Amino acid sequence: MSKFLFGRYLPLDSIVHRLDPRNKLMLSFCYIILVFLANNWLSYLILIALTLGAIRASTIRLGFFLRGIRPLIWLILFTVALQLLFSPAGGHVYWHWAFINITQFGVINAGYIFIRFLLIIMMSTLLTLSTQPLDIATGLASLMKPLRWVKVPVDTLAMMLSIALRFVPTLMDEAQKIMNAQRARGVDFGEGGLFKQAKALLPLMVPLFMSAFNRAEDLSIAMEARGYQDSEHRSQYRILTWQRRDTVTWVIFALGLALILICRRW
Amino acid sequence: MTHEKTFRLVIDALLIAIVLLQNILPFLGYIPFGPFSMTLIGLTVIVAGVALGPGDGALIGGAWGLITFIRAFAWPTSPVAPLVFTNPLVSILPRLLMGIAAGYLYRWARHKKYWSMRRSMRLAAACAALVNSLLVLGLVYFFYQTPAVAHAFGATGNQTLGYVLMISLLTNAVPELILDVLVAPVIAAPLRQHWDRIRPKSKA
Repeated sequence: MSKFLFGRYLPLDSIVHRLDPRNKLMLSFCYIILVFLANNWLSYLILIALTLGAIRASTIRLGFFLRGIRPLIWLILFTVALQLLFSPAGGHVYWHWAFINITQFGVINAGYIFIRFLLIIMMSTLLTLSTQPLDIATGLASLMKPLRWVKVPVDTLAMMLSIALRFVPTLMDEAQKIMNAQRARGVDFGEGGLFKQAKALLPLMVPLFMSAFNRAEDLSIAMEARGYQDSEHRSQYRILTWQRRDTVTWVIFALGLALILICRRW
Repeated sequence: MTHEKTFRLVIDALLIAIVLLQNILPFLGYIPFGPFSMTLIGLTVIVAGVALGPGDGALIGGAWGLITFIRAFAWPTSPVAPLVFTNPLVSILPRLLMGIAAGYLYRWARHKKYWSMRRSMRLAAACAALVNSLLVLGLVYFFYQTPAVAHAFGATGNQTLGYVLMISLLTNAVPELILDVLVAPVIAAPLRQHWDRIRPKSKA
């Protein structure tokens, strides 16, 4: 659990940490598009420079990111291997056996996929490391505002999202507590075959769901007692402001985009 | 009336929190076997659909799909996820429809056939799991036929890309088939208790 970096927050005080969460969400989204646009080595070099620059600006050590990627490395290598072994014919064939071809095309493609993965994982990890979960929720809610025009209950969804994020750690503690309580009663978690493992989860899942139901009951009554009527007609406590540093990030992004588009031409 | 609305909002939020939790704590969300793993998150979606109604099932299913979609880029669940689930149609649609199917099938079995609660739940759970896996497989097959931009991650399309997707197909079908068998009986017990609690408040 502690091995995974994605979704954790590192309280530091850097430029990246102080950026508007809406801005960071949009930037990460556009960054992924940028990664898919890149199609040769030069454009990937530009992307790597952009990513390293962003990590540098966040003052989080690079080793921290690499440690976060480690649990995922086998997944990535497996995907790359799939790509390498079963890629379409094209270019020089290095090795051929039955339906397995290692071609020049495959090798290049596998290399690109590896880099794409690394870059996207690093950038999204940077987003969650430098932004508090509740800020992400507020940012997402404010970015969804235009959807109101197509009758999406944006405010209700935002309310749900912030309640959900608030209760993840609480439910996590509760799950651990139930697990230990059931262990004391003699339940073995994660042992035996598939069916036995699934069956052992039953004395964990049933109380977890039941307690979520009880909690929902209590919480909804407490909310109503405090005057909660609906999500639409409310004022906000957390207000996000767009600052000059946010505009600057977009200038840098536009520069990167322009460079990559020029590289694609070549 | 308004109380039911608030209760629904909060319970949906907490079910989304459980789905998030199942993504964060691997032992809660997945049971590994060999190189593949079977997910228990579908169970939560079925619980939402059957215990609360098709709308709530769709919401929780949609939330799961959205998380799968984002995770395919940032924190892949399995080696095939980056090939398959980076397409929102493959990652979100099956999960969304799975929740809806669970909700409506339970309602249908309860009201039209006068089946027992447990039996209706088994039917709804089995069908919902089937809807999910069949749709994932079907959509993967469909996008394999038409190599679209959506598969930019897999490769710049060609016929032999099929091998890659065949493997994705197999690794998807095996865990989800086991899920089908497993979900129906496991799900019935927690649902029964939930349903008894909710019923005095809603007629769904």
